[in-house]
Amino acid sequence: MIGSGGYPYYGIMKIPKILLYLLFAAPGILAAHPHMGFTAAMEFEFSGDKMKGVWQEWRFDPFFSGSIRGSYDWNGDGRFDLDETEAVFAGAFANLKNYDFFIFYRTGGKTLVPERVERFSVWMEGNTMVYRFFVPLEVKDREIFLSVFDRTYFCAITYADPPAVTSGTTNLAPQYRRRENRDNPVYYNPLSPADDNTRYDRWAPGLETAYPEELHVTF
Amino acid sequence: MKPPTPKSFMSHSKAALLCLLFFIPCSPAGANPFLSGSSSSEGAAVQPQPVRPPVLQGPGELGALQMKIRNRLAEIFVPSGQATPALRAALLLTALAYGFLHALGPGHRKTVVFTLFLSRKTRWWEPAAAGFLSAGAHGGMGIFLILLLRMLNPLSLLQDTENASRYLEGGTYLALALVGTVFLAGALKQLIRGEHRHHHDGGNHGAGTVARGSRGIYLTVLTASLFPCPGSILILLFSLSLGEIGWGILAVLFLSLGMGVTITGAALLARTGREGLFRRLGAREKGAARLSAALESGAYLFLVGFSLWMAAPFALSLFPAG
Repeated sequence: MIGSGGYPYYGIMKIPKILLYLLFAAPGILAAHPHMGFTAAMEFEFSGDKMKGVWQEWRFDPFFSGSIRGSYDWNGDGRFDLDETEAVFAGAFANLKNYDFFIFYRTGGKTLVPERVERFSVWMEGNTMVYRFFVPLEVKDREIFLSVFDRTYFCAITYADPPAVTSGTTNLAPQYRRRENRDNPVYYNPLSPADDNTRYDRWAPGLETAYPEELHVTF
Repeated sequence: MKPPTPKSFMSHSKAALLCLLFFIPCSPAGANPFLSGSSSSEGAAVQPQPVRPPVLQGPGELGALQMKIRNRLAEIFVPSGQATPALRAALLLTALAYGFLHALGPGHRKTVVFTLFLSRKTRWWEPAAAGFLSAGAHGGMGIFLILLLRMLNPLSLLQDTENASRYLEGGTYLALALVGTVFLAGALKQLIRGEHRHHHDGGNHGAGTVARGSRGIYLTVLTASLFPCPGSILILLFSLSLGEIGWGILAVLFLSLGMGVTITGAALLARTGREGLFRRLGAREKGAARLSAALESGAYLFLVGFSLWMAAPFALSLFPAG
């Protein structure tokens, strides 16, 4: 009979349980698989009582920073001149349009993504590369919810502390609050090709749900 | 110690099949969203799309830990003038740990290795052989690619590497589909003719039986793994920016060792699940042989379908409309 007479199989079968846990059974542990990371700091620009948009400043991990510096700092001076900046934009930023520049914002009851970004610049701070660019926003309310989120999870994104500051000329004193909004998730199709940038307003069978941490701005 | 009941054996075989389902979506590393993947040459007619992105993902603890370890790796990866033997040892050990954790996430051909070891009877050491072969090819291809492309055009190394990676990853899936089809045809032929080898997992096997069973595993693993690991590419590019490509290559070799441990785990899990199943059915020789043949055919069918599905975005992008 199987398992009788001091049969050693029981002991052996304990190993797969551990492997099962390590490899599959703990989704929260095994789930993520980022290959790079950056910290996002934001600067909301106002003109009078209107929000014009947000400056994004992304500080990258040393490996991605080194890769870009090694590839685009052609004269090796540790700076990106105009030609090099244009090359970085074309080769290592512009493709983000296919991913909505990782930016989702909600205002006036609608979730929107930026159509374009402006005034891109790049520089090095030690081993850290920094991207800075302006995102025009169509704000239709006195509040906005904005998240920086990579739905492919290739990038691990964290917010700076504090995540946002105010710039421009305004007498307003905007309030910034970080939160995970369980009522307004981002839906995405995990089985779609990488270049599929379809946005889903509501859940449908086959879609995954993510709750990116967002910044709630009131002014 | 309480021995397991037959029911628990069946539970494990079910668990193994469940694991297979878990593996289904987990294969590619995904493309870097920052990089266009376009060729450095202007006006390239074909813009290859990456294969499908990984599915089981999310901001879990493993991701945070991986980033922490990777950032630590960057901190201790200093130019030779500032390095001590202790720092260099720490660099290699950190790369090893990073490799182990990195391969726990989606990708790195665990699906392929798991499926293969579920389909065939193998020797006890073969999960490790296949696991380290896969990880070695995965990391080694990164080293080869960086050295080659750097020699050809150092000014567009990043773009060219991304572009080449897309072709290689898509190509390995298509090759895997081809290899899987050949094996599937053989397995189906045996199944239909009733020639399938018998499995007596609790009994005494000749080495020839096992050797025949494991035939093709290494070719398939190698075929599936000949594309560069994005983690290794980043380490190599970083080492190039420091002028330390030699230590970058060493770090990638240790990274591959770490990944090999994880991939071996996947293979071992499949092999153990299979062994358990056939140990249970060992007394019923005819049923076991039939099940083995069906399992082998099913595994290859899955492998072919899975590979084609994963490669579809890449393959279709090679033939743009108009």
